[in-house]
Amino acid sequence: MRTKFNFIGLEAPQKVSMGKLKLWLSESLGMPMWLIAESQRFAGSLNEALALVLGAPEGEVSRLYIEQGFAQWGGWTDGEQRAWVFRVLVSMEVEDRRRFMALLNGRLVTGSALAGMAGRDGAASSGTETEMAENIASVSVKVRAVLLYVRPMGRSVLQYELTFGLRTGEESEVTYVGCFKAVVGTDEAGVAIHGLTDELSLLEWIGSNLGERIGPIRGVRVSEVFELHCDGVQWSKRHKAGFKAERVRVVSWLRDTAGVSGLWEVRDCLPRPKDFGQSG
Amino acid sequence: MALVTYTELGFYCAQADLYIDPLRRVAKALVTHAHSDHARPGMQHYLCHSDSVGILKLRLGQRISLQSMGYGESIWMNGVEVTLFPAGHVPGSAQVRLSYRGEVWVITGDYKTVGDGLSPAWVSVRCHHLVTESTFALPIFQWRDQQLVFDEINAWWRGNAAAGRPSVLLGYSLGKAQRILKYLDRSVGEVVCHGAISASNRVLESAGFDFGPWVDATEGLSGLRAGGRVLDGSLVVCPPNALRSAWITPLGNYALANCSGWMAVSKSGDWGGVDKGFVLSDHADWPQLLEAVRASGAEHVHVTHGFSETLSRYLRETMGLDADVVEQAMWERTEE
Repeated sequence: MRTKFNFIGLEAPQKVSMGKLKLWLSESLGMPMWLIAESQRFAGSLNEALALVLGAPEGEVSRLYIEQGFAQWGGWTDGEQRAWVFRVLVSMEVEDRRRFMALLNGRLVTGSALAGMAGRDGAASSGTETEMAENIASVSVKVRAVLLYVRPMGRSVLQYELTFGLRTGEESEVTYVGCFKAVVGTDEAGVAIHGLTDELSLLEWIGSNLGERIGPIRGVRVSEVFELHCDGVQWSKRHKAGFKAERVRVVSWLRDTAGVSGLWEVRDCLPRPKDFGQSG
Repeated sequence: MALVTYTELGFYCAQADLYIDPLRRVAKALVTHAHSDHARPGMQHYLCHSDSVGILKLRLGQRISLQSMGYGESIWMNGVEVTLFPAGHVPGSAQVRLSYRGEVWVITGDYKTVGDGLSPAWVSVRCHHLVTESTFALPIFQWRDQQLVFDEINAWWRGNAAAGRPSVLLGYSLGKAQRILKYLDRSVGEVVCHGAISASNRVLESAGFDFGPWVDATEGLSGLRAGGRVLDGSLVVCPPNALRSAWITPLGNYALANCSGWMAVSKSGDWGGVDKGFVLSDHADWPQLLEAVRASGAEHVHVTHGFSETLSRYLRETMGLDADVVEQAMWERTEE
């Protein structure tokens, strides 16, 4: 078993969709697309299926090789990008392949991206780096999530704990599962506490779209999508989504209802649920 | 009429009046190996490989009518030459070659093409028609060298033993359990076997198989403790159903792992609530299945027992073979 690859500080130069990765691996392996689709159906996610169909690791690539590849990426043809990604993926263990694809896909955030967050909200990226030198327990992810509920907080200030959901189910019957929580609002001086550019507008929107009361929770119109950076995401049996996050930062209010991330996209970024073997 | 057809009772060679792994009572049943989804009770007469005799009698009764043969030996049934070849699945497992007037069929039963050091290694058999299993016929299933897996198992056991915690490893009582036993590092501690596994062990040892020392826990784990055995650093091998009985209770806070090909997929981690999964199978993985088909030289391939649609479509569209699906109604997803 090879040592886990250190992805800290690596950022993909351009988002590569899972569909494109599927096509690239299909072409590189000479494997029909339908066969990968069948594999995905059983494995439960495309990310895992692609990581497994590559079989045992072959060859080896260094971190420098990946850094250089990312630096040259923009000047490459599609075929050159495909060949490079294939070589990198083949060289890795299954778990690292899953995380590398999530990195390419823009769903796995590593150290360099977290450093910016650390400056803003005190989240320590070094903690994540330490974990990734050791046995990886948590990751950081970037998602598009829909606002589902709010919980009014305090009496003297206007603050809400927001619950954001991710998509599950087939296209014809999409439902949202609450996954991440973050607090927005103002302090006693009326200053936005979260740091979101349009936080005051968001508070206004929430105030005029409050819905059904469920205990301390108020529903809101399920229409608003936000980009979130979530840190310390790890498996949790106590949470309906199957995972929890230590820190959630609302990066932007997208004002666009399309493209809510799937629940499985976060699960794909996480280490395997238990200490399972690779494809041995 | 084809030499072999599929009937509601299973694969049937009318010329020889012989069924292979039949689903219900027939006059003559050729059993490819002794797992319960292939060797069913109630047949008037059984035919099997000689290494399966003891296990079949253990499972189906000492009084069954049974004839055995060795690998490479032939018997003739109404002009049909019947020969068994190693399938490499478990001890006694066999591929069946049926030949009549120049037409050759091979029914693989369950098999793996990579040797495990326990069962006689699989050999390719040339034929016109190949009936192949497809339990793990998806390209996500690609096994690693078994030594790597056993290194992981021994390291896991060593870690548990160092922490004073017993280890429990799940494996079927015929084949998987003995394969595990053969490669466990006895310097870590004692190996304890559930009664069902102990019974299979004794039969196979009497047939000449050797898989190292083991302790029989047929009388229960509490009996072993009472007898002064310290189980904390030991490794207990038991079939999955033992977890649903009080048999396991005396072990206390044990670490639990499963050895199965299904463990390759992370969602399988929830199966049985185990702490750790080791990817170890006695079935052919995707590359082995394709290797077996190619090596047979068969122009016609009949796929059964697993991801049949997937494999047959791949063989048709990618390898240009005449392949179809023969689905066994009784099949369930299992390692046996």
